[in-house]
Amino acid sequence: MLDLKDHFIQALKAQPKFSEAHLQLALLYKEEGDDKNTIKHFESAISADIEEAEILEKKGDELLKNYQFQNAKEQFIKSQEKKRHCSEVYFQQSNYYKVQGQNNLAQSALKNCININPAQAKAHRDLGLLLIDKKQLDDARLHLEKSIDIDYSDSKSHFNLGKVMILMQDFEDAEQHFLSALDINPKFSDCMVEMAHLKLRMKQDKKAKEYYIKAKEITPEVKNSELEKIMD
Amino acid sequence: MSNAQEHLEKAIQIHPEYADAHYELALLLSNNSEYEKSKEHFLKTIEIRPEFSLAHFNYALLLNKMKDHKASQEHFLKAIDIDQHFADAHYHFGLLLADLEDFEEAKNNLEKATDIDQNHTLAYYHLGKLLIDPEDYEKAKKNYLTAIDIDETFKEAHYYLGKLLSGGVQNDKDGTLVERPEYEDAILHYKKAISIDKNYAKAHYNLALMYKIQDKIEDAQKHFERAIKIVNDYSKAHFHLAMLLKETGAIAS
Repeated sequence: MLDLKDHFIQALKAQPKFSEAHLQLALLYKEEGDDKNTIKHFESAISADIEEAEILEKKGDELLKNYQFQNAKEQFIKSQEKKRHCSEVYFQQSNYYKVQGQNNLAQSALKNCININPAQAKAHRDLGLLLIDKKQLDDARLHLEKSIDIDYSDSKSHFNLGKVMILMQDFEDAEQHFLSALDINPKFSDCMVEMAHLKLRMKQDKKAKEYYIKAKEITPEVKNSELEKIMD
Repeated sequence: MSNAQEHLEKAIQIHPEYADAHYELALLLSNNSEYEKSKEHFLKTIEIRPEFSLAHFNYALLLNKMKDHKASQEHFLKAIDIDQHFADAHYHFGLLLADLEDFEEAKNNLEKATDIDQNHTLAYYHLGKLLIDPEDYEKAKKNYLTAIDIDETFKEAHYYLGKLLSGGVQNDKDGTLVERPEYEDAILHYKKAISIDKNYAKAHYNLALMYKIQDKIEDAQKHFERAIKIVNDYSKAHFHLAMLLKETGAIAS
């Protein structure tokens, strides 16, 4: 009987630089709590992807020099695929470090992820969140805005950008971003609670109450002491 | 030393300018992997009969084996120059050019081979493999189908046609790049390849991928396992089988 882990290991025995297999093994070891192997396979996946992407790019350049446009294009596309995969590995690596509470390493992985694939929206979003924790609000804002530029439908980026805007005392922009988040996800109860808070701050108690009631309708376990006061 | 070789050498001893004897001896030596000796006799043949297209052609094949690509090209060209309807010369020259990554010229020569010999199965097949531009999708398909039409048991042609159809990357009428996979036809050709050679691991693997896309999980698993049984260290088959197991929560047998 072979289980899926055995098959990934077999895949790597035959092809030691098989980055997709390294990534899957890293995720399996992560689930098993085997930190040593998790880290090892994340690193192996990254180095294999980078190496392969470089080889493909060089090959593409050579073909281009010989006016072999279609074949060059094929190599460049493959190189891009490798880079995209590498950025996914960095992203998963950052998730791992976040769970471990190693936020500096998570931040570094996200920066690498963005570096290799600037169009990775969720990496910009997660980096923005880490930067909020570090009170680096300008940088956090930049990354959350970038995330929205790439993927406007990401309600979480709108929501978190709204939270940044509150910290920056820009309540109008905050409201706009919360509204966008709710427009995309009308059942986003956390966002409704934040909106209720914002309305409270803006002295719009009636509106605050409306948002809080809606949030409780969607998620009954929502409880916020400050907002509970206006419910009387 | 074979009998034939002895007789040819004797003939040359008696008549040193006997081109046909040098040529036959060169072929014999080449088949016996005695490349340097073969080369001498090809050169002598060409020296005596410079317009002997077959000699240039076979000498070009020898030079290709000896990795002297530049000289090989020259002699293929010479063979074609002497006999412009020399399909095999165009075909092998095309293959050499493809190896040297001069794909456009390779395609031209393979096309020429099929123009001259409309039953040149291998030329159609290799041309199909070189037509990777989405713009050439239909043309590639046509070449594979022609190869299969001539030789129904050509398993590689079935296999590569399956790959082409499963990708379905082509240009729309307005030139837009589209992906229009033809899964059912691809499955048909993978199955055909397997029916010709039941141990064709790559065909099992690609057939499994098709079934996976179609959510025919049991069939997919069966063919991934078959591919692995044939080639134990089939890395991609292990990987995709593992992914299948991960997605379905199953255990392989």
